[in-house]
Amino acid sequence: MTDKPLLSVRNLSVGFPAGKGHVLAVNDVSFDIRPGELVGVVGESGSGKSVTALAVMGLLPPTAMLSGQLLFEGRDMLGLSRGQLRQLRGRQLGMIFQEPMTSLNPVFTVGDQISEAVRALGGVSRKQAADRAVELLDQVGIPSPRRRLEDYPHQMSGGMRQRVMIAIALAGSPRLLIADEPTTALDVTIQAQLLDLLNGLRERLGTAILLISHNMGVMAEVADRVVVMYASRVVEEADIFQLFDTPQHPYSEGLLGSTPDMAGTARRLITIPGAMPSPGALPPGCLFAPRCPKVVDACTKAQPPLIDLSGGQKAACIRAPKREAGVPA
Amino acid sequence: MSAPILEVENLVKHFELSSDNWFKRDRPVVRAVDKVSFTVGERETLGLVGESGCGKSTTGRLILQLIAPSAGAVRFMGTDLIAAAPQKLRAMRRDLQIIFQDPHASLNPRMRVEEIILEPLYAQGEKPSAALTNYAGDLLEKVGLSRRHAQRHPHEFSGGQRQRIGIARAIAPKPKFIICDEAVSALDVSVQAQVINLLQDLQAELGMSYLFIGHDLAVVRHIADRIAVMYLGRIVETAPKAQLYVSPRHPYTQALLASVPVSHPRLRHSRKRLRGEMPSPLNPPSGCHFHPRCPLARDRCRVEDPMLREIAPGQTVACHFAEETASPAPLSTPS
Repeated sequence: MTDKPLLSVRNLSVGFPAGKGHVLAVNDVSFDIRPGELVGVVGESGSGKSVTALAVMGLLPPTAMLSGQLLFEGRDMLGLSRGQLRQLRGRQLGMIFQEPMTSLNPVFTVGDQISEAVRALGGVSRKQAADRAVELLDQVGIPSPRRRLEDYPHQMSGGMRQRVMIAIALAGSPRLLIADEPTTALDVTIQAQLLDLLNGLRERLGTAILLISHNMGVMAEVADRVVVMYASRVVEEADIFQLFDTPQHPYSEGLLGSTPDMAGTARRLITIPGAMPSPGALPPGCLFAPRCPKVVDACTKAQPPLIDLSGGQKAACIRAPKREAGVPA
Repeated sequence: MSAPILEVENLVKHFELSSDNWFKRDRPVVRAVDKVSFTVGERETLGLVGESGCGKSTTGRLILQLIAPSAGAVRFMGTDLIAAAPQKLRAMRRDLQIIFQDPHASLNPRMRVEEIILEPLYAQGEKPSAALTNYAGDLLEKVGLSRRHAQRHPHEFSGGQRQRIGIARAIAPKPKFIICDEAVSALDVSVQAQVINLLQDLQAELGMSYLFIGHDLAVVRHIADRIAVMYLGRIVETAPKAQLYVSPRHPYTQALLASVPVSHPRLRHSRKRLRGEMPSPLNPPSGCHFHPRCPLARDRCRVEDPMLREIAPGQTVACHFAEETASPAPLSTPS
């Protein structure tokens, strides 16, 4: 794994018009993904994690206002023409979505839809595209792939459809796969199979993966590094072990504490009181301050910046370095 | 264990589908719930888990008689609900309530919160009064909302708050039993934790029993005392939770538990995943429904339905070879 990032998100902000002004769905977000790395973005509904993914894919509606940089191998994607972006999306970036039911076209066969993605890349015949479709279906673990080409999406289960979506995303052998809640709608045994599949793709093909999820367990299962988002901002970024062993932001701690675990400790769940503020009515200072158990006066004065701690860990909390020095919270 | 408040015996629900062939009389039948039996004790929480389509939600609705069972018995506090006259059933529902999964779909958008919460009491023939209005305020405070919310409409609330309104409605008639049908599944994790704690506090305070239907095994482990695992319309294993999670004996339970995401990255290991997916209940496999995916399957499994039998105190398993599944990780050896 080289240290040169494949994708560099730099100070990305995304605003949407609302009433007379606009609201920021993503606010000053920065992180890197290196080749072959699996980076998770975790957060609750409305944290801005999906909008971040859509921004990277260039799939936001025209009303969205973007600022910052999206560097793919050093090239800023925000400056690209539609045609250049299209090229990049086919061959370098692939994306899978949460809803395998609605992302496939119900009136075309699975084979047609995969072949379409293959042929869009150019330079292949119909026959070659069909062969490639078989190969892709095999790669995502669909048994007897040649027979399944003739199936329509409704003939497949949710897990199978998500595999087809992954096959389409892999058509151009992308170097980065963006997966937005790919297992959320699926049962736990199917989720486990798909997480294994994503892990396998990374190992066999060296595909870097940006995995968006609200589920800390999914992160624990496959992520190398995690970006925690809250109310449009990054509040913490850490190696997966650092995040679980020494979370530095009280929100990360709260998320971990409120997830029931299988260890079966009969503890009462730690809760985060209240709910995430709506993007139109953000509190002053740290956005998490109104719900934070460790809030001090200074928290409501200014938004704490994301600061570097040891070992590549970053947190946007004015108290973060204290805990690192071994001072109990 | 305390005396059962709810006894479900050989509960069956067959849904008839329309036939593909207009000339054929026999219509295909989905066996959504296939001879399900269990009991729930006083102040006990029974977790009912399984994947989508296994029949767990249908079971909940059958108990409440929201849909009519095809066969079987549901005895609640000694009364058979299936045979009960409509008036009697309505009166029993005072003690038997439900909380639904989707807090957006289960509250009438045209009603004010107070009307929503008091609806179960109005259904029992009570009339609006100042005392009831005051009671609605008390209920709102009990579930962590404020009295002043009573005059608002559901759309003014977040998902977590709406679920609290659904809970206030369920506890309004002071029931002895609540069916929680995926009651926390639609909520974000920090809000989910708040609602789980609320359900536990209310149970301790009001002495209710819960049937907690869910697919998230970590959540169910957290809240349930005893757990029943369903697969394709049948219960395959029941056990006190400590036993179920530590020494599951049905190969399906074992596979299900192995699929749950780990709680710490250190626990990552490559586990034997369950092959394939749950077959359609329209055409379930012969014999043991699980045999096509089971690493232990043999000829007998293809022909003979395994009965639930007690394999350890309090633990029942529907597997012919449950004696062989006690080793710590039978699924880690490739078959």
